[in-house]
Amino acid sequence: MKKANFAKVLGAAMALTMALTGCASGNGSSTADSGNSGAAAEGVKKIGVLQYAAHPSLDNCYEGIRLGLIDAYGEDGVEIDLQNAQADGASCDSISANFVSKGYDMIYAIATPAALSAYSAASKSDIPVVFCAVSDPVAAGLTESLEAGIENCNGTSDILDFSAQVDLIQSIQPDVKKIGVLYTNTEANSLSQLKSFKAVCEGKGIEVVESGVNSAADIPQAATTLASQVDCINNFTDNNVVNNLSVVLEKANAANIPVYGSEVEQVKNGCLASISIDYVALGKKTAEMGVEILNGTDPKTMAVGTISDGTPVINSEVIEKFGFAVPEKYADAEMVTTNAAAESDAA
Amino acid sequence: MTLVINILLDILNEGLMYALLAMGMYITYSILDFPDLSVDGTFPLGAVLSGVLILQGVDPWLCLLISFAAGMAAGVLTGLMHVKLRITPLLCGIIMYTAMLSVNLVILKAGTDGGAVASFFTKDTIFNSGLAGFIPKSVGGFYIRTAVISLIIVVVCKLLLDLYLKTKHGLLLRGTGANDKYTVMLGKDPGTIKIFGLALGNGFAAIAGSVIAQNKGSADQQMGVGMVVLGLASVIIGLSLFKRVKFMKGTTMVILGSLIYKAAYQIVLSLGLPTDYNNLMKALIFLIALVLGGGELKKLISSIGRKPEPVQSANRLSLSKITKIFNRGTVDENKLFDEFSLDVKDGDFISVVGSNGSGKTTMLNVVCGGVEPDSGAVVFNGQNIAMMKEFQRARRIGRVLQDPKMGTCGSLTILENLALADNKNHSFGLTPAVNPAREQYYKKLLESCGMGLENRMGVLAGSLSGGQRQALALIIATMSDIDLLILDEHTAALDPKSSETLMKITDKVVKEKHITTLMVTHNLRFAVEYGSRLVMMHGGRAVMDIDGDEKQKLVVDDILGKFNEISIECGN
Repeated sequence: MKKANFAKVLGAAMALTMALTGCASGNGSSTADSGNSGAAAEGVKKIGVLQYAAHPSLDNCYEGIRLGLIDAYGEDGVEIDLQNAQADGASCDSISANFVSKGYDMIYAIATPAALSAYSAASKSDIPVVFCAVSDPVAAGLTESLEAGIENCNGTSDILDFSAQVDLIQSIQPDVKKIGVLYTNTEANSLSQLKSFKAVCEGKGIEVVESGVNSAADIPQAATTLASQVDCINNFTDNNVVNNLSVVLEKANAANIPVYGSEVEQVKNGCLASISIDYVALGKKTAEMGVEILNGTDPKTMAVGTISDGTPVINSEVIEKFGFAVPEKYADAEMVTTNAAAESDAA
Repeated sequence: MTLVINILLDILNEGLMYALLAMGMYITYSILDFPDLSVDGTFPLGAVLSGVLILQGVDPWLCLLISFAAGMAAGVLTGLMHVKLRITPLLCGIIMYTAMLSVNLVILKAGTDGGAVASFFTKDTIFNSGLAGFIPKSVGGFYIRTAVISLIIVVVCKLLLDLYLKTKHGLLLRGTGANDKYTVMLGKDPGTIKIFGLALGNGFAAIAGSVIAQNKGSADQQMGVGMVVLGLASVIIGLSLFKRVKFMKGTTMVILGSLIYKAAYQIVLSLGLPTDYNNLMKALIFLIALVLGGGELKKLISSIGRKPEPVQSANRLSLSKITKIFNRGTVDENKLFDEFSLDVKDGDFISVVGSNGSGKTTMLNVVCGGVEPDSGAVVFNGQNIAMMKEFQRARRIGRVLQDPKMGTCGSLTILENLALADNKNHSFGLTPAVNPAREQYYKKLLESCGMGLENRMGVLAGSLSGGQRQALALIIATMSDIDLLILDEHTAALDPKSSETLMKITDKVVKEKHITTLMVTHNLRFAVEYGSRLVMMHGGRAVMDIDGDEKQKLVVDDILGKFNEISIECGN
């Protein structure tokens, strides 16, 4: 097209961009939690929440954060913009950038990949970032150590108590010799958890067989192969694996071995048992830390938050199916049954 | 307002950083015509390598260069696979991308003591040290370091690339991409040039990865996902939107393309739809951008609602007051046909001759539907077919083109070609394609060519000689019940003997089946010896139209004089 036409098109495109960005409000959430950030009242906190993926553990985190924020500020005192990155790294980046552009008061990031994106985007501004359920914040560079944070960033970690988990496994399956671990190569939390898990198992004389995948597409075959080599499979908080838990369960069931989960939702979806962290409680604690930061506490002085005690939870249908007995030690464990559909506790 | 500026700044940042990737793909995809999927692997290679090195304290600018070198190395490997092992371009890219998944992971694990992410928020990167120190962190509350540093890098890379493309080696690269046989004729190995082009393209992709990782503060293996699509979209958008802007270089176009891509995404985000629909909306926006740039929409819109005018004609084919102007409104505007009319009676076998550019082939295209006249009617079998699509008109028209490859399917056998043509105007359903009962009939048809093809029905059409293939094309065109046969210089690509044979077959078929025929030819002798009518065209008009007995008495000399006259007139 000629110069004149080209200029017109370019001009129109720019005008369109400005018009849309200027007058569109910040709605992007599909939950009932978002309001319109265009006309927020004075004093109302504008909070962006970036959730890495849509699986029940992370949903529980969000629920906890939401409850914690409402506790602190009341329903009308806070506007939450929840965005889900659908397990896509690029989406994390653009959602984070969007949050920063909108000048939110605080950004919560659920799961390690989301936390990395959020921190990267927010570090160029003054917006504090609070991460939730990051298994190894030190390795991710999000904290100085477990006792002290870095500039404008802190949060909670879902450090799993592997000692308790392996005890549980050994109690249910006293003859266990090999535990299989399926994890995703690109998830930092999984790799660091693998290291700790291996150390614990070594101490108890159990061999860990690991299988790393790159994406959801690799899971079926990796799971089948792994299931044939081990006595049981143990899950971490690997987002990709947990997202595709039904596939792993299917392959494990075909090989007649149980899968142990890392959280109660996974047990409700068909895992045999777990020393589970209450992710809702973790979310609430995360919100509490965030409130403290907004009230003026310096994140550098805060310790990384954790939920110390895990509670054992067992799926009564699954344990019966495998013919194991509930060990005496865990007689008061929370007993659950398999959900018909994967429903989470979150609203 | 702050929001708008922040958003525009975001678009600028992202658009500039990814413009480096776009420039890399401009080299491979646009200049070299090599669809390079390996960037999904070389982009994160740059990111991961830089991340790991920065963790060790290596100078971040040096990391850019190291990433570039690593990308180049990967590109060389991709190129070697293609040139030496003769693997198709798409597969080379996929193989390289797959290999890079492991390579990147190993680099990450080695550099972070077993981790999957290299986090270097606190280390020196190009955005927080060295040169960046001279740039204020923010201006007016807006963080500008990313934009400024990215701009510097993009401008430097663009200038270097532009400079390179003007050198002898750069011109050779562009030539190889356009026509690698030309490179051979220059005495150079096109393979080596292609390898270099791939190295350069992937080097840029790796630099892009390094820059983006340094801005992000962390690098992981997942960063490569979707990079091919992103880069390609930027290149295609940039090139198609700005290709008619004469003063703009290709590198500028793709940089703008990258900015527009990111702007489109931002528009999508700003619409406030649930994020689930983001990618669908992105796709729609690209579609709109491409369609607006291509002008297809205008044609589509103008063709809606136009109805053909009703006309009367007793002739088999009538071209009535056809006007056609090419390149309207430009310096090359050419009014080829100005109310051109031609009546073709049932049973006419018209030889059409004329100088180059006289409109012979365009006239055939107007009849068949390949060219739409600006005004006038095309009446065939008493019906104005002006609105009918090419394939609809073809139901009663047979056509043989100049290129022997166009009239048959090279990867099907002679038998399959005939079976397919035999089914013309019937339903192409799920019953067996080849009917054994018809094979005898096909044999007879082939026998009439006298080339022995009837004994080779299981042979692939692609392995036949030009003459044999054209004969087959002729049989196919005339096999079914047609009312008009169009022969568009169908002997032009054949050697004299094959031409002669083919003309004899043509004559036989046309006479036996009484098909009305329009034959365009450059061969004056054929025009004179065959056919019942001769039309000589010049400048979109018929300057000679000889019919009946007069035509039969014609010899070449009679028309040669006139032919030379018009040829010399237009400088042929």
